[in-house]
Amino acid sequence: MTLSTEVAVRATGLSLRYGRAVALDDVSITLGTGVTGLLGPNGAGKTSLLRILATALAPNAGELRIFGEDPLTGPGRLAARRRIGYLPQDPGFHRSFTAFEFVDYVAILKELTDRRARHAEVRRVLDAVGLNDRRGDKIRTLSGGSKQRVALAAALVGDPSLLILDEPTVGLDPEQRFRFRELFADLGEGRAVLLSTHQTEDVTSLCREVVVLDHGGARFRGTPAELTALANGRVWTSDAREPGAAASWRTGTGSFRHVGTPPDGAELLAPTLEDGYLTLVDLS
Amino acid sequence: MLIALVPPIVRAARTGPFLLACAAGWVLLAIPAALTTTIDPNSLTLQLRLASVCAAVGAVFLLDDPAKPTTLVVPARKWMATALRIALGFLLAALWWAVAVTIVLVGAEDGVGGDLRLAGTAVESATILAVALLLGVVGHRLAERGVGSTAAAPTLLVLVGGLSLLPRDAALFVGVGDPAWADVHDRWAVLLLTACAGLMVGAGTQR
Amino acid sequence: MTATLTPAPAASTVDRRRAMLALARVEAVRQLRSPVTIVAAVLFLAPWVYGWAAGTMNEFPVLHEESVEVQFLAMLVLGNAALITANFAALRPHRHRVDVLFDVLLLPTAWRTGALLLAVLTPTALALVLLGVRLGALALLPGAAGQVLLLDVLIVPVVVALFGVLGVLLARLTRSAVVAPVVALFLTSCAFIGPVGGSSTERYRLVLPIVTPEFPYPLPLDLFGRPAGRHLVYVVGLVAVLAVLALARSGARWRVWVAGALATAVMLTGAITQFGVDDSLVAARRTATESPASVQTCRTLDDVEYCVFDGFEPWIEDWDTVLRDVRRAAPVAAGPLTVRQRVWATPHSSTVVPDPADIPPSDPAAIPIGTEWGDRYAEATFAAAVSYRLITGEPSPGGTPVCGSRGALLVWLVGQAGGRVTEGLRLLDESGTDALEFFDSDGFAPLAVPTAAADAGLALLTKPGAAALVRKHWAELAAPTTDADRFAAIVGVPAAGPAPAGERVPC
Repeated sequence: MTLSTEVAVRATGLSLRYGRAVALDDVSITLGTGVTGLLGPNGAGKTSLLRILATALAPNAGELRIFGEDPLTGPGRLAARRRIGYLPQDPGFHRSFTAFEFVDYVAILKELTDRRARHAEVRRVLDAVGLNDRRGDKIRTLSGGSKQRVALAAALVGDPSLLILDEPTVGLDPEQRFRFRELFADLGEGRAVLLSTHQTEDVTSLCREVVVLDHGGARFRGTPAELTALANGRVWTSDAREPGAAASWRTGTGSFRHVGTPPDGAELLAPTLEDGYLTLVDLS
Repeated sequence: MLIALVPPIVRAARTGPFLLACAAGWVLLAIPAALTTTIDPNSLTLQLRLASVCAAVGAVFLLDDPAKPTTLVVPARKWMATALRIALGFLLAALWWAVAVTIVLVGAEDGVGGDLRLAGTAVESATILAVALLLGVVGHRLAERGVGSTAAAPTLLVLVGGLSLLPRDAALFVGVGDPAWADVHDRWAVLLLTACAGLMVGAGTQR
Repeated sequence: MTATLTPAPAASTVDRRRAMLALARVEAVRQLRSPVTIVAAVLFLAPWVYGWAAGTMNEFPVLHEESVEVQFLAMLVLGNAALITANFAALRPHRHRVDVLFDVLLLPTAWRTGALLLAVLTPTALALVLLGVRLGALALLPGAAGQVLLLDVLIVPVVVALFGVLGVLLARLTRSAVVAPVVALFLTSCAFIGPVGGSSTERYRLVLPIVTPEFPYPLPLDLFGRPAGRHLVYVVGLVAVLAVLALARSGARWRVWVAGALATAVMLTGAITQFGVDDSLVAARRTATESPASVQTCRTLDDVEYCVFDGFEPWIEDWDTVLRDVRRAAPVAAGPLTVRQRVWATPHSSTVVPDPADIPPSDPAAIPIGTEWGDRYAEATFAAAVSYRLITGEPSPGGTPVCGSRGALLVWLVGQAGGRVTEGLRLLDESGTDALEFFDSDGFAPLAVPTAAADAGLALLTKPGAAALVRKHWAELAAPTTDADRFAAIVGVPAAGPAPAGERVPC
């Protein structure tokens, strides 16, 4: 259904200000199929960027095309929204609805007006997030993880070609996170998925590409391996804390692991994506 | 689409506070109606106004939509859901008003009910309701999480309180025997139209 | 909020108390900065500031009356604002979904309720300040009569506290955000139905939070007789009872019930003792009503003696200005005059305007004046009484219409005083339907001029050279037999023609 060569998002020079505070400063990003990870410290502008790309927010400056449509115009926004699924950072619900009713309500808002087809679609997405057996439960009775799955199901309704997920794995237990990871990997087939997260493992295991945002600007863009490679020769281990390191911590074995500029003759370690990320944020 | 939205919107709208406020409005009117003393038409009109404000305060809650963050990016036009909530408010308020007037007329002693100027008072009540819904729309739009009633409901009270304290020349709440009644209600009608226009703009310009 | 997040590890009572006070401080500041509080404060002062700016303010307030009358607006505006802000503050954790987090904190719900109850002190203090500003400014006016009643002033902040505590209690009973506004409207409505809005002599009104004046006009201070102190005890007890209920509802321990019993005792003490009837007050009121001369002090300006109740001396010079203005226009030497302040301080059947026939004239020769001044109506009414005296040489009879040319002349004479008197004349003309009725709410010496005569007098006011014409024809114009048409013919204004059928004022 989605052409694998199609560019989902092409954004250039996006800027956003809240009064004097700069949330985004000249950010350019292009998204194709596959999962793209968005990393960055809190307050880096990740949510602002996602909201702009999801057409929920208009940038102060910059150009944005979603599947070739300009979401700053009414018709363009409408066309774009028909192909976007958005999971906000802190989703809200009608708590008296059942999971099925709520996703069904979102499905109506996504223009699925044929009742039979819509119900089939709702069952499909609830099945996809593993919530089919609880679809009759009121949302107020669901756990945090289950609510998150209801919100994800709502985002998946209508098989969107662009999925924008703002910290979808927050508050999930390891098993649930693993299931979500599986799901996202499947979703990335033939679809553009932008995944904002603090979980570097998610990025390592899922993403074809990763973007690091800091202080409102894009600091890095490349593959996870490239981000990891930034820390090559900058991770070492020793028996004591080293004040010169940008970050160091005692590992479970009792030795210290450091990220930063190593002293001569230090015992270097293979970096992880997290080391690459820390190096990048530290350097910027 | 609009029709498909009706059942979930009616279920999702916070009708609880509205119904509670409506019931409280009726009780407000029922107390003086139950008294056997004759209450003058101005006091009855005042009661009707206060009860209308009471119902209108409840109507503000109809615009609360805690699912706003989740339904931020959907192709459906946002005005549809808002318009349905507004329509629900006007519909229920009209039913409420019919019962309220009945309570007042049944309870009025000594033919005072005949001295009431119900058409004008209805315009006042409709205006207050429209302003309440407008505040609800504004609250909904401004509130990140879609629940604007906590700010909008007290705002309505403060607004009506302010209107009731207007100096004589600009007064909007006048007695039934006041020679300015007709002029004042022309102004109410203008306010009603303005509030309705505000509702249309407020509902129609959502992203 | 941050205050609760910094508890000491050991939860001793002292720590809790400190945490509660810290939380109360935070909540107090939040309540003060709440838009509802700010707008309520503006609304409370707005009518008064507007009157001051527009020049319609009464510059002759009776301070003890103002201390009482202000309570109604203060209760509605400041009280309801306190109710809503306190309720919303108490519901805020629930609204922001942090109540689950709070429940595991060091400070138990009862203590957080305690902090919210303490925070109600801010709107309370604000009410006291606003009232102080308003009454203080009135007291500074050179025309202020009487004195501010401290205990009555204190009732207002305590009632505001009562509303605020009610807001906290409501939040502990139900989490619905609609309840506080609805209760506020409910109380407002009850205030308008019940004997709170106007004046009332019903005894049961004492159980309401504010005590309305007994009469729709001011009484002299020593006849006021308000059980303000005992009522204050009652309302304070009521505040304490509601506070205890809120604490009990939040799971406070048994000690709160001891406080509850104490609060109930205080409330009942105040509630019951305020109903006592003071016999000496009844006697004093009778004396002041029937033979005011025995309790008044007099002051003579030229040949006019002004006798007033204690506290009303600042008005004498302004009365004198009006009397002089009227006298200057009338070409008669009416000899030495006495102006005596009258008040109706005994219970009477009508709460609006007493019937002058009910009251024995103690000093028929004196020109009566009431206990209100500065509202334009009182000025016009006094000018009318003076005019009547100058035209007829007799004291105003009260209640009977002033017919024919005499009525027209009276209206014209009143108009000669200018300023607030003329404004009052215009207001009375607008409000009367088939006669121009001169009366203020005291109800003494009402004079009614039928429309035909009044219109002729009003028409003469705008005619140049009228004063000379009146001087020339005074004797005929002031004669009881001259009718209104003749008046119109003499002074050259259009005649009004025959009175419309069914005119209320018989001539």
